[in-house]
Amino acid sequence: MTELRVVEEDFINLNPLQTGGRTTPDVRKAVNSFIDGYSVCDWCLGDVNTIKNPDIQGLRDDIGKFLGADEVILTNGCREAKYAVMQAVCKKGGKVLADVNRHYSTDVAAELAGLKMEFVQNSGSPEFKIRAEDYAKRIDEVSPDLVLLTHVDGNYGNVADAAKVGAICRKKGVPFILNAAYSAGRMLVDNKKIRADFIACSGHKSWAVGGGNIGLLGVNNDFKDKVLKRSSEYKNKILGILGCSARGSSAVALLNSFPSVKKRVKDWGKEVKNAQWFANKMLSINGVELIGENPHQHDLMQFSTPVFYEISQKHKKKGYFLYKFLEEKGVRGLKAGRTKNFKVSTYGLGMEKLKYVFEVFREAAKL
Amino acid sequence: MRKETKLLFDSLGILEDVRELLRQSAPFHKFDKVQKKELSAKLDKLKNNADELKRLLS
Repeated sequence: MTELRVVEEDFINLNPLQTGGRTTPDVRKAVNSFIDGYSVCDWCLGDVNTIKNPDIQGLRDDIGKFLGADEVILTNGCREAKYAVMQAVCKKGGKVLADVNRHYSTDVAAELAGLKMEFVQNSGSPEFKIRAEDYAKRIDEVSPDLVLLTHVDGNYGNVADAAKVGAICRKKGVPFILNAAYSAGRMLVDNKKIRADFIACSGHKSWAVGGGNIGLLGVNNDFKDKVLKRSSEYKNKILGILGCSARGSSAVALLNSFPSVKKRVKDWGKEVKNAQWFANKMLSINGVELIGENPHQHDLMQFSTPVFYEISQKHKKKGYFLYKFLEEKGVRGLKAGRTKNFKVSTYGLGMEKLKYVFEVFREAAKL
Repeated sequence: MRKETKLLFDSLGILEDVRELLRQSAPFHKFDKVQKKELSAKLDKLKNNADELKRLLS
């Protein structure tokens, strides 16, 4: 048997990829029951999205209201949601205009769809912010088929002004997809205010989903026929997601995580406060700088840490000293070998644990 | 791995083994002699784990 993973049981986990996907007991119990292949398909009538037992149909309706999207479908992940939109909306060889802070899967989705990427640059060091107003100029310059904004990027944890980009796209008449992988499910994302045509979400990244991968694609009515187009031969299969997407325990995980997600987004203000407290404490260590928006507005943050790099140069464990030291103190989530800079997420930890984590970093800086 | 965590996962593993017995004997769960013996041993181990967990965490 594979070695057991006890990162959440025995450690404080700071890995930004994982903190928003940390599961609740309800999710784990449900996943365990639905662990077998095609487990949600007992009562399927031909499309995973319309299954009523377990109530995936009802879940999609509820999530549609929660996100402010006219229709929501399950996808295998956020990237698959982006691809489904790109291949349906853009003309062959067309262009996608995205922020330069985008996730690599945006590029990969565009490449698979045979599209060219164009970019909106960021503000450069140290904040690397995306200015929403830069989209207006770039739309005029490149005439994209689709505009994509990464709501919160995975490198700096910057929160972009999605409503402003939405307004620009409406004015210019360009379809707009919001990549909400690091936002929706953590914070309230109300698409009635943002007015994106599409919203792509990641269940395993920000909706406390385990048991595999799952994403969500919100589509507004204007584009429903185009993006949710059915196969000519298999009338209940959506082409863009190759018929059915998540059809196992991850769908049930989402069903069981959603009640907790609806509650937790109300605490987003507290999460931001905690993140800011932690960022400020880290900045009190000589040789630590925040890379990204300051004051910080998200739990994901990147630090430049020459202080730890200097220690690694003379420490017997070299670049691994920091990872090892943290591990001994019960803290995980940094990439082993990294000392020059690293990313952490404070999501869901609460002040008591964050105070402890900060003390561990402060101790490490004295090694 | 901490001792209490190991005990916890061992116990979850035992429950999975019991689940397998249910699957093998579905739909009526009438166990034969070997299965009864296995079930008894598993549940005894589970009880011991529960007692040990209680001792460690109380």
